[in-house]
Amino acid sequence: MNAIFKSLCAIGLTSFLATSLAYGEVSTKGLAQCGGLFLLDTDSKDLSGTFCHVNDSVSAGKYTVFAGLSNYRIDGLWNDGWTLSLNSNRTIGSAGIQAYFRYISLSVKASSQPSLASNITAHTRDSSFYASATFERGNPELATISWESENDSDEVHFIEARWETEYLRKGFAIGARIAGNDVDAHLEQIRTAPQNVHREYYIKDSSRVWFWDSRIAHRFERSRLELYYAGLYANANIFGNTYRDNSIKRFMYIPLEANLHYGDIRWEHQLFGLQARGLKADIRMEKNNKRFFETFAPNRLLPASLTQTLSFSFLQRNYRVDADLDLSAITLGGHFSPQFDITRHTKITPRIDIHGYYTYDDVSVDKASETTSFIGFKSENESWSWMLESYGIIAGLGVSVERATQGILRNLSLFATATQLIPLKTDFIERGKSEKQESSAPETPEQTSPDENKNAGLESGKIFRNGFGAHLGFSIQF
Amino acid sequence: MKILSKVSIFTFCTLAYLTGCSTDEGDDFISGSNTSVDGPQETKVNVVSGCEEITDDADKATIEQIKTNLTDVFSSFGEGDLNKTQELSSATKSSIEAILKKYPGNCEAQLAYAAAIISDVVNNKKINNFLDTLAARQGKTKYDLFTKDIDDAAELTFNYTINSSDDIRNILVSDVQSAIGSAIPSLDSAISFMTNIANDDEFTCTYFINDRDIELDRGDFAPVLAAMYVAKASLTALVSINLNIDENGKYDWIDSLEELEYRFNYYSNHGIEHLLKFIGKDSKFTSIHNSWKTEYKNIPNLLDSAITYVQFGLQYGLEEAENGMETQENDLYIVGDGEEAHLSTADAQKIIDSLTTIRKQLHEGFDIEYAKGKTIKINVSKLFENTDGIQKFLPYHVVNDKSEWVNPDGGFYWSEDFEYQAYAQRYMQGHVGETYHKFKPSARDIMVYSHDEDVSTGYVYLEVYDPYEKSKIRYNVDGCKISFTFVFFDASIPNLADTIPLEKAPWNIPDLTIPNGMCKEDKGTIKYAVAFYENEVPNFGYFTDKDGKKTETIQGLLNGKMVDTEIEKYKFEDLRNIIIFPDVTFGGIFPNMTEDIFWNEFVKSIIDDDFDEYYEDEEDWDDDEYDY
Repeated sequence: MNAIFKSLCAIGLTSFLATSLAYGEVSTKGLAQCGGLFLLDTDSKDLSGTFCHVNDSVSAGKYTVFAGLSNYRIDGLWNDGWTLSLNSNRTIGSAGIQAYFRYISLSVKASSQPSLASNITAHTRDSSFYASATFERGNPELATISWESENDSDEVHFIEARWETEYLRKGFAIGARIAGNDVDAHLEQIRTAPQNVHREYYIKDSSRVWFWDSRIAHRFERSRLELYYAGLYANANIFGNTYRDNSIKRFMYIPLEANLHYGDIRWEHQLFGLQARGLKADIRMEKNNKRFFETFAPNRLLPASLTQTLSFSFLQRNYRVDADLDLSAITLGGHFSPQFDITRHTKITPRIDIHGYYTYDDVSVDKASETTSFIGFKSENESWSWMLESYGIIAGLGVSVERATQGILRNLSLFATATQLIPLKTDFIERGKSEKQESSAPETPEQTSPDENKNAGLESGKIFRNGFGAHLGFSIQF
Repeated sequence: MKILSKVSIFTFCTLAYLTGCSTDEGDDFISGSNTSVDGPQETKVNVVSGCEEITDDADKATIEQIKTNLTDVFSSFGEGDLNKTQELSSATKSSIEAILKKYPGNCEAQLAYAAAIISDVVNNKKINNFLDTLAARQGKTKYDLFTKDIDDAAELTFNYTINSSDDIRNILVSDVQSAIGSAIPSLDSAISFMTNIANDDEFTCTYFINDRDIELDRGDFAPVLAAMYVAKASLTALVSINLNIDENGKYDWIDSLEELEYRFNYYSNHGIEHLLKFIGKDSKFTSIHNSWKTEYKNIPNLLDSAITYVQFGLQYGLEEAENGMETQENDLYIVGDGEEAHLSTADAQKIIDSLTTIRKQLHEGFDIEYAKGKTIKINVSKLFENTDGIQKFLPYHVVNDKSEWVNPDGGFYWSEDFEYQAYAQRYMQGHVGETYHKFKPSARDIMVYSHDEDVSTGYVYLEVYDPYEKSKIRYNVDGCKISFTFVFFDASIPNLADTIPLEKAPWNIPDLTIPNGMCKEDKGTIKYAVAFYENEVPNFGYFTDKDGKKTETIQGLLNGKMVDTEIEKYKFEDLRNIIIFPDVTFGGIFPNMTEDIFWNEFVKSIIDDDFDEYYEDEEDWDDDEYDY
């Protein structure tokens, strides 16, 4: 992986130099930016993500060569008598070339993920109409998930699983610019194929994702009105496996189905903008009653031993989980960004964003714990649900400084933004109940103990109070 | 990830479960005589071998119903619902008997019968009473043995053995053993049926569990059979060993032992006397009951059978795996190398091989680590060859008669002063404590100490902590007689400044005559036996060599010896010449053990530095007392 990355950097640098030398008259544009979303940081739960991206491009005539370096890091932690953590820390180098011809453009991009993407665009001479197709294949390592029990002497104390996948992305886009209107639409499909990694514990997935979006924008004299819609459908089957002595055993199966719809209407003026956004998403996990498709089968996770072998006859325990997550949110607000000339060539643009938000989210989980002991079977069901309703304000402050090209000094811009959620009201309700049942018993003895706990710990409130986002950037153009 | 403990729980539950089996109902297929702890019951089971088919449709329907019922029995057992299990089990058992009468060779009926026997929790009355009584003592309605974990089971046993109270005084260990012993014939019959079933590689039986068919075959029967053998081995061990700690059917001596905590006086404690009898030459404690000796010696063979049947089941699974999923799609567990299997072929083979090694080690021994980097060979099978109890492995020793306890022997000198470490001082403290206990039997946590004022007088202090109470008593020694006068008694304020004798003693302390062993007249002078280091332990007994020649007394060992005019402590190196073990291999359990390894490696690594620290602690203790 590292070798590929180095090669790509070399290719990028070589292309850059070669292009400069060959054409003499070139223009380059560089951008560096970093951002982060720090959702939560408590003793028992932690979720944060950061990214940094640097790219540079050189254009000369019909060709543009570009190279970039990205680093992203996602850290998640959940501590509840055990510690579950998810880490993804990747530095990805990428380089590519674009060629513009009269009716057609081509681009190829390779990254150290590794991935390889190619794009072909057919367009009219003035680009008033275009259609493009993208094809990408990659084999990234998505994350490392580890689980550690509190007790060192547990039979299985530590599990570290690597998640790799192989994907194929196919995309098609069309767009037109007619009489001050921009119209485009885009459809994409991503498929992943499961990858067996030769590690003791690993995760693989078989997924299908459809993504589509469309945009209609009209340019007025001093403003712009834009309508945007995006949708996503994902169907993923995630498997947790063990690999020992050339034998693969499955201990986890998580089938997920997700739907997402997002709409956005905005009116952008040089000085201010108004925006309304809406999001509706649901993620479902439906239990599969087939054998070997249990959500979690701890017996099969154990290292091979006499205990494990006998447990298959005398004490097999499996868990099957149904889960449903519904999210909906709307925001309404705008921004104000006056521009000041601080020198003849330098402009400063502060920006204030104020949006009101309302969100209603619902999560329900049903867990069936099944125990098979020889010819006996018992099942115990537990259900939980959480409801979150909140409204408040999303406030953002930002500033950008831009210097126009002057003499040998090139265009330079800097920008920084920070965003904070300010909930005005948050209702959080948690419910739980459990019931025991034996599959073959005619009557089902049920023990229901509904437990309603409004504003329990305000877990989600904590997320909002502690969460903030930040974005910093820098770009230069020669 | 507590699967190991869960499996342990299951094993325990299986055991507990099997102990509940009873033959009271008088089964047609099992016959035998009454069982007692003094003799195993001979069981004759009429098992028709082979697997006969059921031809009649009505009977087929009956057996299907029985199977459904049995699934319910096992399910309710898994739930820990004992009453429901009992109800379902006894109802089901009678219908199986009817089918078995008609088709004695039908394997499905035999399997059902074996399963019914296992699940037959018509508990033995004695065990039930015993458990109920224990539960009642702890404020529970019923001891839920089936969901108990090992810790709770251990606590239960411990409570019974050590902390037995009036409620269960009428239940003796031997009674419990008899009750457990009565479960063995049931188990034997279940083993006979299951053996016939497991030996027929064609026989499979389908149960409807968790909304799908589960096919049971040899791969499942054999491990169950193995579990039965382990259960039988465990029960046999439990029943065979003489654990009778009662004294003429009573446990009062344990109370007496407990009283040491607040009466602190060994001289008047009967519990110690009884406890010492366990290590006496005539004691039968931990020996194997005569009538159970053969069964006890057979335990390694039972374990062999268990190992063999686990291997047998796995081998069957491996054979099935050769045909992929064809014959094992509905098995309880699937052997195969694919993702949709439980156990890989390599692991199955690995377990089979490791079991062969375990069987070999069971008979030939294996190395265990007793200290970091140090191992010794242990041969477990030899454990089952010794049926005489632990006494013959204890060091050569003589336990003194209680009348001898008051005569110090070794580790002391004669002094004209009534010194603090005089045995008589301790004896006197014990006398004061005992007298107080008679005055207020409910008092706990009594502490008595004393210090001398001059050669013949001093003070005894008696403190009771809950509720607080303190007495200061002046003692006056006149030869071998001691008299007492109260100077202070207060139930609340520990003010000891007052030394004026109380007009009326709150409780009377009779005069004490010091026994001759602790106080003697020597040429007109009274002398007291004074321990070199500590005067607490009476003259319980002494160690000897193999010819019975005394090597050192316990008192001598604790206090050291006089060399010329110096008191010399015993060193660790001296111990092996004092405490002589007749057989350091302990009947071949540690076949490679030698005297040198035993003392220099084994004992030393176990006691580590404790031995030397013992003397150091004693010195510190003395200093503290003298400062007082």
